[in-house]
Amino acid sequence: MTQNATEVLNIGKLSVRLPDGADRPFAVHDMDLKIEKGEILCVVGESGSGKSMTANAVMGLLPKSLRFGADHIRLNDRDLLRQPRSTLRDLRGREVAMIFQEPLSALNPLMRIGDQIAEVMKVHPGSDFNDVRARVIQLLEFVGLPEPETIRHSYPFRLSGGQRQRVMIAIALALEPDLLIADEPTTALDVTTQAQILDLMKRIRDEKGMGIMMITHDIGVVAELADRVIVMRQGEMLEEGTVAEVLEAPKHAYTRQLIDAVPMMLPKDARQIGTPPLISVRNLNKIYGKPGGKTRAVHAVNDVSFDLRAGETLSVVGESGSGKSTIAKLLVKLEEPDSGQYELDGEDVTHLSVRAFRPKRRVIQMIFQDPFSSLNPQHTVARSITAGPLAAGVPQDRAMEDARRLISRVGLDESALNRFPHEFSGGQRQRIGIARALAMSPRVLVADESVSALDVSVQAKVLDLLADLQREYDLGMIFITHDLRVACQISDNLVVMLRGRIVERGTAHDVLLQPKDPYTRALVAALPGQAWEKRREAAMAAGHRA
Amino acid sequence: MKNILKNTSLAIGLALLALILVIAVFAHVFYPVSPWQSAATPLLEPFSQSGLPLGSDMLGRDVAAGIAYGARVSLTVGVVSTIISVTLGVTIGAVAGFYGGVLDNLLMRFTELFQTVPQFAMAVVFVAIFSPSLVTIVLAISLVSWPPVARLVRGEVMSLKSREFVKAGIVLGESESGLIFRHILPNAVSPIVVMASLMVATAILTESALSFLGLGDRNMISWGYMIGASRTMLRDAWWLSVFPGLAIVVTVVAVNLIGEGFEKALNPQAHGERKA
Repeated sequence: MTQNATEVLNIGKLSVRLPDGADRPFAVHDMDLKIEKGEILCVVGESGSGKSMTANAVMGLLPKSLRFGADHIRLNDRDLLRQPRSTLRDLRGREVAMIFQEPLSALNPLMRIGDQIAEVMKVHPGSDFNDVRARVIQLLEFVGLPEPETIRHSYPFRLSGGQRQRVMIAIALALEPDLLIADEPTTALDVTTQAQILDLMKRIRDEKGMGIMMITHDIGVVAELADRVIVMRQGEMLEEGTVAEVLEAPKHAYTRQLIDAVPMMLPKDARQIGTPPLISVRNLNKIYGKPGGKTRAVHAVNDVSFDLRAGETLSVVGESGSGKSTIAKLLVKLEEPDSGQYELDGEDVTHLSVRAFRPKRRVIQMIFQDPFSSLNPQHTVARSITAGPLAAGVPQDRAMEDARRLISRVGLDESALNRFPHEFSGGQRQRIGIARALAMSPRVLVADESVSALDVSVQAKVLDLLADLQREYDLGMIFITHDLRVACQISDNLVVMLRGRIVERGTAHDVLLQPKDPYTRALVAALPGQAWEKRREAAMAAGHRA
Repeated sequence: MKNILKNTSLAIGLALLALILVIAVFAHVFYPVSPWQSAATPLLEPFSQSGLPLGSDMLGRDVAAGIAYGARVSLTVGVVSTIISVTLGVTIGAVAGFYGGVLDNLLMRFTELFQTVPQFAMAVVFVAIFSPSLVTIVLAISLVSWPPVARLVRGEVMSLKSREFVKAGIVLGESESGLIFRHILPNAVSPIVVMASLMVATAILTESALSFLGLGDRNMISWGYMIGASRTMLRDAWWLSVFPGLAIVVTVVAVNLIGEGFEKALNPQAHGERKA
């Protein structure tokens, strides 16, 4: 055996079989992978590419219904496939640890933070850390949590998502394992928090010399963090190499596609639109909960004003809890504003009741975030698309005709109309959602994080479709997103929100490339993979000149 | 149909229930003589005389005929009272869950009023006050069994109401009734169906218990009444209580199997995999 002394993990020909009737025979097929000490390996791929399955196979977390086989899965110098269960259990936590995507559900809500960290040391007796309390505090300090002594005694609900992810990392680090597996650890976090966690991961690699296997779908994260990259698609490993090789000279066409689909911070050309505003919002306020009531009042939307004209895209960007989704709800009357003025198409609709607003729904429509829950699972696509027009009094045959026209307009086959939502992929469902909104022939579209649940290549196509439709119908569009790159690419104007307030506004170019407000600056600075992006832009500019 | 047959518990339950249904519907064909009429010598043991497979009771009435006619009462009470209480429960639960606020508060306090009184005691009092008859028994059982349905439906409606497809319906300008009947309730059907099928079983048991206590419809023979009437002779004439008891057990098991079968057939994952 020519085993490299610094090699932490070596997987040879790992295959995971899917049950019969799945869309392909293998979730993972003939996967080879190795990680050295002090190295971050990013496994990148779109949903369903088998990247999480690979991680779970190492941890022995695959569901029993999936059969898997491999030549070897060697952790340090032990082949995990040949170890009895008790040894495997002992290795987990001691030599290999894992952190997950959802920090909100990964901690036991009824146990204090300190006890949860100490638990790892208790289930692995004989570890080098005799003073459990001191070790817990040391760990909390290492992952950068403030006041470790207080946090140690806190319950998880007192901590934010980012703090909880730090706790998860502290648990994973407790016994100084040689390998850390991280499955999309920053996907559920805000971009500024994500930047901090990525920094922490780099620090773990540098200071502890651990091998890190990072599963992600985000090319930006890869560019920021990885030493080496593996690209996966449909269970096959397409490409492997150093981060520079893979990102700047991809060998495989799919990798190229994946990289090209990542939106760039290139604002579109500024346009002057002289038409009167379709939407005009002045000093809008929305407060959840009564001030002085039992629960703390949250000023979700605080003194917000903006205009939107036909053909214009206004992006509302901000982190979670900034009130951007509340604005969407106020605009389509899913929520009532507490004060302020909201004019739609020249008419004051601020205090119209839901019923009185109904005719106005033909002017403003919404595309929702989650393609999986935004369509009624029991209704055919045709029924979903025609429901709005029918409720507005359009005759059945005309509504059906429109539905047929729209479904092909959004790039689906007419036969889709008779099928049910579960037969479609996320991207296709989002197209159906767009067709449903367009069926009302609206003049304003509100898109609330409408592409954030989609894979990046699908996302690019849906964004293209939206841009086409906007041009075709001269739509005004409110685009709510946390993704600055997407916002930059599609918007004319942009507002940045922080805790319910607009902290900066202007053209996409001004706000994102020359931010003035400190918060906007922090947001822009937190974008992962900026060094790579600079090189990418330079390469593109060079390409244009040539 | 194939799916139903693959689902063993549902298939067995439906077969048993079909058998009981046939017996109930054709009771007057099998036993043209009223079950209250004496047909033979009193207290004949089962299989001791041809034509009386389950023996006769202390007045010489045919036990088998009693069971056949009793099935009518049990099934009627089970099905009708469940329909009434599900209707009541779904209405109250849907209104409370959809509109929320003060209305929800009022309706739920009202529901709790019924839930805090022991169900069976309330049924006994109700039947005793309004004199025992098939109608009062059905009403009494409905009255005590709707609160859990209301609670279930309220919870389902509240969670479905926050789903995006319902929000999309609002944004598309669909009416409130449209939202409730087209979007929310159809998606809450599976837990309601499962609960309803189990309620049929409870209703049958409650009716038997009421009849056992002498609060049954005097004009209709029922399994509970048969057991109640013969309880003093349990040691001398076991068959008088055992056979009606078995009838109750088989019916309740059948209904429960159906409920369990529905639960399996309607669970969300299986539902999602259905090919349209």
